[in-house]
Amino acid sequence: MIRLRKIIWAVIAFCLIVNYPKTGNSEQIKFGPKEASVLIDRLLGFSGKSLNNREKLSKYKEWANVYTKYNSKEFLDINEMKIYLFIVFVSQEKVLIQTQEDISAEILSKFERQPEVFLRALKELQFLIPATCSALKGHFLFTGELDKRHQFSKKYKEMIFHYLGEDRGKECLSRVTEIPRLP
Amino acid sequence: MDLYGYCLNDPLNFEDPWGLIRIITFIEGSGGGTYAAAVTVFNTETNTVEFVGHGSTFPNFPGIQNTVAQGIYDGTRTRMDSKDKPGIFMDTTPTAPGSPNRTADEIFVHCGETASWRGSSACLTIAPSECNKFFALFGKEESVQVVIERVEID
Repeated sequence: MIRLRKIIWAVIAFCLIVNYPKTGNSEQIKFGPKEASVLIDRLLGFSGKSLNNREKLSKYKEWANVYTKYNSKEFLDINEMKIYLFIVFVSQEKVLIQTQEDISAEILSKFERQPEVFLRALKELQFLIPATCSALKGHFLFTGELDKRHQFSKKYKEMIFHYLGEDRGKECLSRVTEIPRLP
Repeated sequence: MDLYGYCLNDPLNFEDPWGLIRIITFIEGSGGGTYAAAVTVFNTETNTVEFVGHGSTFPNFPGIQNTVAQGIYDGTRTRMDSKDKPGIFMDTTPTAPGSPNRTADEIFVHCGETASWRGSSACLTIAPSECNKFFALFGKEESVQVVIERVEID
């Protein structure tokens, strides 16, 4: 029930993001109904169960194309960042392994290039905090550079607390740094 | 191992319903290890083993990241658009006990990152030095079966 509520909130928030007035920036990523339907379909899995492997591959490619647009743009505006972080949320919620690997490889550079925009997006859409901070930890797991997560925490703690507040900031940093004992 | 399961274990009397030609097997000890799996590609038309090499069925950190369960899975040869690298797409799979999630989606067979690092959160990887040879076997969008078997090693 809690999970369903979380997903309903995510869909409502997503609708608000995509209907947000555009800034008029001509280089803004095109985000139309097709892209919106790909993201919502991935989150809700409307048609996933009856598809064969090739059809699922075709769906994956549509989804990967949307992700690639946001991942490959060097600087994202606040609304684009919200959509990027929404994609991070969906990949965690639905356990989309390849997307998680792609995000793990890139998310730290996305954060470090625009920490203020990244954190402002999280501040405005706080339901994205757990998934995003878990994805940041995913970077250190993916690269094997586990010792660097504490450097990250030290370097950005103040800024994270400034944008997210102390409680949510602590929650985020604990997700980044805490790794269960290896079996 | 049940390589002919998809044609009721009677490949002489039952036609292959999906036109599958190649079966990829990963056989690995239960403890895993980087590229510790024996990977083979079997061609059912010519009855030949076309590839023998090394791979991994475990993620970088088993127990923290998901491990695909043993089993037989459908796959399709493709390119991973986000990385522009070759891959075999395996859709939703159950995970092995001890994994954080019960199922995982978007599992690929892809090349390992380096000779000593799989660079995988759950995907199956092929040793980088053998990867070109492995992927050269498959036609564009060829349907395959991927078999994962783990054995206890004393």
